Amino acid sequence: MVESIIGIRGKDFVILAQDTNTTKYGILNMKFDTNRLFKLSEHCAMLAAGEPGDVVQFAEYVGKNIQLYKMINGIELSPHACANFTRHEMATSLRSRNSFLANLVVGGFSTNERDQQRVQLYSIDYLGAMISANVVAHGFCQFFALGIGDRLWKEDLTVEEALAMLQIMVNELGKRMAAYPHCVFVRIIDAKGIRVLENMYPEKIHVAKPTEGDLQTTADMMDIHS
Amino acid sequence: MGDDMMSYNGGVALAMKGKECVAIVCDKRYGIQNKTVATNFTKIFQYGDHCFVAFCGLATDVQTVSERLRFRTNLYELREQRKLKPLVLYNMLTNLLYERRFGPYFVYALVIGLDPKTGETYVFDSDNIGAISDNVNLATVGTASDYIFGLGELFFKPNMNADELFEATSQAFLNGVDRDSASGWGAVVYVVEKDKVTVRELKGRQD
Amino acid sequence: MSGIAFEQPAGGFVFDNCRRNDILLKNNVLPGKIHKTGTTIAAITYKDGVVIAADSRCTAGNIIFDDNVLKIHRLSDNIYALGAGTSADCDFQTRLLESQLELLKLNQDRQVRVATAVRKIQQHLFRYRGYIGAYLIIVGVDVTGSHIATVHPHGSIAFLPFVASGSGGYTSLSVIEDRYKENMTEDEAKQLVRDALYASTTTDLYSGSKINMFVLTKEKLDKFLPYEIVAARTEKQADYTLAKGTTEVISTNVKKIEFDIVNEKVKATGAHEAMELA
Repeated sequence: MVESIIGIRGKDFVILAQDTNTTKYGILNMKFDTNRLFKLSEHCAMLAAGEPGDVVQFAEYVGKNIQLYKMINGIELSPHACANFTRHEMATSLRSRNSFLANLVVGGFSTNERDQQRVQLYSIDYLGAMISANVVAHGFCQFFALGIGDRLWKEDLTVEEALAMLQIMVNELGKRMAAYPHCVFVRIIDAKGIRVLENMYPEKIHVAKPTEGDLQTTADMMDIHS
Repeated sequence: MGDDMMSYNGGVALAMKGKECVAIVCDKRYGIQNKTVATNFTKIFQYGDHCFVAFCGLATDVQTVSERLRFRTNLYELREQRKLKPLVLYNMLTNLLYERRFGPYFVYALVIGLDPKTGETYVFDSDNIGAISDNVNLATVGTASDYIFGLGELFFKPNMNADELFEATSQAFLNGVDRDSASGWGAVVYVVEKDKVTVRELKGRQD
Repeated sequence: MSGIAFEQPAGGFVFDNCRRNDILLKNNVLPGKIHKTGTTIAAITYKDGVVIAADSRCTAGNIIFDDNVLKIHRLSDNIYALGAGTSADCDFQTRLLESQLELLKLNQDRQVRVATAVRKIQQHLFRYRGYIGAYLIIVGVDVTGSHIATVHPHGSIAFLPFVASGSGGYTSLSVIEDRYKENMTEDEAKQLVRDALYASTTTDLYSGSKINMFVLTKEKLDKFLPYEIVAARTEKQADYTLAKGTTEVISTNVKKIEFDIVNEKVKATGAHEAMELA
């Protein structure tokens, strides 16, 4: 739950962002460049967070099967179809010996011109419940991301606006979360495919140096007289 | 809330009968216990021209059961070369649920339908293990069903026309839902008549 | 890719959710209420046959889910069952038994006996160790006379001259026990069952609304649906019809349903026929 994954749907693109910490025992950071994005097809990718082993196992299983589908049938699954397939696999695995604890964000750009909604973004939780929304997130960052998303999202969202919105979310995470996101990977998917954007970092928090008066107040509160 | 699998994600639905018309309504909330995650999660699914089913309960099961039922109904229509009737749909659903009597899906269901030839209307409900109900005047399932039941009884009267039915269903639903924290955030009403289905999105309280 | 080979119903119970539900229902999480009949059902034998009756209330917790339920299930033309306990179990087990008895009848080309029905359901319930929560009263008339048997979920049975069961069963049973005589007339028997059901519907919270009654003899089956409405819903004291436009609507979308013409007949008149002939 300390991992953050966020998806934002724009006018003709989706942005998929993730923090990069790998944690151990809930308090230790092991590395700062973890990748959580798994490519499903040329125009579709999945962010996954949860039990580290499960995440990789499940995401690769789903990803490879979607690629296999393309090889067998000669057509690529749309992000909508990828998400529905992923949900079904998740719901099925939940009823078997090997269930996975992974929360997912599936996003992409449909290459099918007849699709009414070509930018598609889905969130799937570890139980296999799937929703489609403009802003989706998993983990504790949901509390911040969904609130900020509800406030700032609009139709015809441009890339700049989406990134500005994401920066606000990242700042909030850096300010409020004990698990500080040292670095956030940002990827974009649009008609041209999946691309990597600049990393994002939380804004530095300035804690003002206490004045002489502040220190005296603190001392008074503690009943220290020198 | 949260100590019951049926209210983990929240959600509620109501169905009511009129004269040669039948209505079904559901809310749009998808939450995880006390956190609202999405407000576009509708729970009504169409299985044929005049048949609709609403599922309430655990969201993953709402989707899984609706897909399983879709699979079985599609196969039925292909194999039998005829349209699905409400009673057939209801029997297929309750069979599906009762198969898992000892490891149930956490969903309650409402089935509505209309026979376009006779104008006969159907409203059925089921619990999570497929209890069979009669063809009733009104039924409601989900987290706010206790409140909506009373209101539904108040606003229901026999032989309503489509407009009256819509108002009665909507008002019973909206006012009941406002007393429930696990459901709400707008509603979608389907009014089924012989020649058309009217889908209306309702303004609901957003909290 | 398990997603492609989707399930085909094979018949019988499916246990694929059990493991998952065990995980989900840890930490004192409840599975949610299921429908109970919350019932009074009663049956007595009289001179020519049996009289059976049931109330019509279906409950989920304290909510009355339905007040017009038929708890009398057909097993065959000469055998009927009354169900109490878990609604779904009563519905499906009686359906299952009905189909088995029908096949048996067709195989043997003779009327099935009450004992057969009872033994079949008894063995089935025993196999499921009481987990199928169906409390049944099976009644019928066959070549050996009229019978009443009560079957419990664990598979125990008893053939009795009269019995009552369900949440209001004891109330009804005490009334029947007080006044039951052998070889009663039909009217006496109906009155006694009615009084027994009246006692329980008015005292037991989970029984109510209507009394449904069947009278079954070798010659006939009389259905009284209902025999008596114990507690009728009062008339509404005002008209609550809402004016059109009361509810605020954000968007409306009308989908027309295309009709298939199922049957079209044009009847030719005499003049038309004459023209064609000419």
